[in-house]
Amino acid sequence: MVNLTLIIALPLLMAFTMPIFKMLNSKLPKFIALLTTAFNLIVLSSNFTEIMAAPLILELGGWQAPFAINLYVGPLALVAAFLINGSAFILSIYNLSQDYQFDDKFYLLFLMITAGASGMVMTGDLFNLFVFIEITSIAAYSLTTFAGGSSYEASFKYLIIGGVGSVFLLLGIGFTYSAVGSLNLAEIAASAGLINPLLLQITALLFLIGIGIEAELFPLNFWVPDIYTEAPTAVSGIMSGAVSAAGIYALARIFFTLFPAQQFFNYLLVIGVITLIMGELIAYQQENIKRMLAYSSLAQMGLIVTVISLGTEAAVKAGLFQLINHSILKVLLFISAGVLISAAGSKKIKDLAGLGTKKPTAAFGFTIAAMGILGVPFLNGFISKFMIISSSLNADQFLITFLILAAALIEIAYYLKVVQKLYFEDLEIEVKNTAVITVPVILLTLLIIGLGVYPQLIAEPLEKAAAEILNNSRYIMTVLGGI
Amino acid sequence: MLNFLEEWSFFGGSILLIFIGLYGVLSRKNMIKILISLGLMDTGVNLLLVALGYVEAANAPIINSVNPSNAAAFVDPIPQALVLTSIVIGTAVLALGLALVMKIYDKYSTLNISEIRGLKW
Repeated sequence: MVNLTLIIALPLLMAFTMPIFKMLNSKLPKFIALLTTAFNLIVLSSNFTEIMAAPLILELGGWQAPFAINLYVGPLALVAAFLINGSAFILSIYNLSQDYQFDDKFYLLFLMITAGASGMVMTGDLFNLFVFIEITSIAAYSLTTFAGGSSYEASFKYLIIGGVGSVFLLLGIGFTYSAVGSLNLAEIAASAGLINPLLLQITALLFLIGIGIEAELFPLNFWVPDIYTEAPTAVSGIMSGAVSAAGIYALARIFFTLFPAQQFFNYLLVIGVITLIMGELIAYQQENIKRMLAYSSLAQMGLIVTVISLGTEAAVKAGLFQLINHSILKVLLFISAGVLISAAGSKKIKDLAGLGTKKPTAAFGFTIAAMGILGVPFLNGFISKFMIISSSLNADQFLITFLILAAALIEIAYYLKVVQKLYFEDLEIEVKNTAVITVPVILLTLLIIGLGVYPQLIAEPLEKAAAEILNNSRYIMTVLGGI
Repeated sequence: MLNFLEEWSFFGGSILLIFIGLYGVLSRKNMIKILISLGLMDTGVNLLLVALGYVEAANAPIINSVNPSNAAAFVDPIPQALVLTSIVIGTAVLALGLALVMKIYDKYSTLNISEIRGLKW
C-alpha cells in the first residue's frame, strides 16, 4: 500500500511544477495531468482492502488525533475519492485531444481542483474542510474563464456567491469552535449534544448555506447553469462529476456525523425535493444542451440529497449508488456533448440534428449515458433508480416516491428529445473536425454496463459506506481511540 | 453598562459588519462595490473569530523567558491561526474578482451589472 496523503500532496506538487514541465516540452503538461490522476487511482486501489477492513487515520506531523490535524479515510471517503480522481482521469484523457490557450495554467488549476476535492473528502478537521473548499472553488472560478467570451461573467457570479457562502461557512466554524473548543470532526461530534439548541440551529443553517453552494442545492444553485454552460467542457465535467460529489460528501459528514438530528434531515429532504423538481422542470425548457445538462445535474443532486436524508440504510445505499452513477454518466454526457457542440459549432439542441451518423462515437456516448440516467434495464441507472424507489416506498414516503417518479418522467422527455434529434433527423450543417473521445467512451460504457449487469461489484463499499454514515459513534471511536 | 459594551462591541460590531457587507453584495449594482462589500464581510467574520479567542488581560501565545508556559495567561491561538489563513484566502478571492472585473470591463465598457447580459440575477 502507498501512503494516502499523496493523493492530495502529489497533485499539488505537480500543479506548481507545471510551468517547468511546460518549458521542457510544450506537450508535457497534459500528460503530467493524466499520469498524476492515474497515479492517484492506483494509490486508492492499493489501499482498497485495508480501508474496507478498517478506516485509515493519517496523523499529519506525528501528533495524536485531537491535537493535530488528521486525515480520515473510511469507505465513504474512499468511494468519493474514487469518483473525484476517476472523473479527473477520464477528463484528462479527453483533454489530450484538446488545445487550451495557456495549457500549463489550465492543467495547474485542473490538478488543484482535483487535490482540493480529494482533500474535502479526506480531511478530518473542520477548518481544513473550509480550506479545501476554498482551494476547489478558487480553482473553479479561474478554470471557468478559459473558455473566454461570456465565461468571465459566469465566473464573477460564482465568485460572489462562493465568497458569501465561504463567509457563512467560516462563521459556522467559528460558532462551532466557540461552543465545543475543538475543530476535530470527531471531537465536535462527541460533544455536539452539549451545544445550546438555538446555537446548533444557527450553526447548522450556516453550514447548509456554505456547503449547499458546492452541493448545488436550492436556492443557492443559480450559478450552476451559467458555469456549466460557459466553462470548457472538461471543467463542466469535473464540476459535475467531482466537485458536486465532494459537496455531497461534506454535507453528509456535517449532518450525519456532526449534528445528527431528525429536524435537519427533514430540512434537507424538503430542500432536496424542491431542487429535484425545479431542476427537472427548468431542464425540460432548455434549448441549450449544456444548460439542459446543468439543470439535469442539479436535479440529480437534489435527488441524491432527498434519498440520503430519508435516513434508512437502504435509502443511504441507494443515494450513494446514484451519486456514483451520476458522476460516471454526467462525465460521459458532458464530453460527448462537448464533441457534438464543437462539431455543430452551436450549443442549441436543434442545431445538433442528424449528427448521429457523422459523429457516431460521441452520439453513442451521449445516448448510452442518457439511457443510463433514464434507468434503462441492464445499465447502472436502472439499479440505482430501482433501489431509490424501493427504499423510499419502504420508508413509507409515498409523496416523495411519487415526486421522484414524476421527475423521472420529465427527465425521459427531455433526454429522448435530444437522442431523437441526433438520430432521426437529417443533417443540415457542415461537420467540423473535433476531439477524439473513443477511449473515454469505451471505458465509461464498460463501467455503465458493468455496474448495470453486475452491481455486486460495488456492493461491499456501498454497504460499509452506508453503515459509516449512519453510525457516528463508530467514527468518533476510530478517530479518538482511547482518549 | 460600560463593561457590557466593551465585552459585546466586538461581537455586535463584527456581526453588524457582516450584515452591512451582505446588504452591499445584494443591493449594489457596481461590480467594484460588490467586491468591496464582500471584503467587508470577510473582515467582519475575521474580527469575530479573533474576538472569540480573546481572553482578558492575557498575552500573545508565545512561549519565551518573559512569558513562561502558562496556558491561562495566553489568548487562544487557534482562532488567530484560522484568521491568518482566512485573510489570505479572502485576499486571493478579491484579487481574482478584480481581475475578472477588468476582463468584463474590457468587453462591455461598463461596471454596472444590470447592463451586462450574463450577470442578471
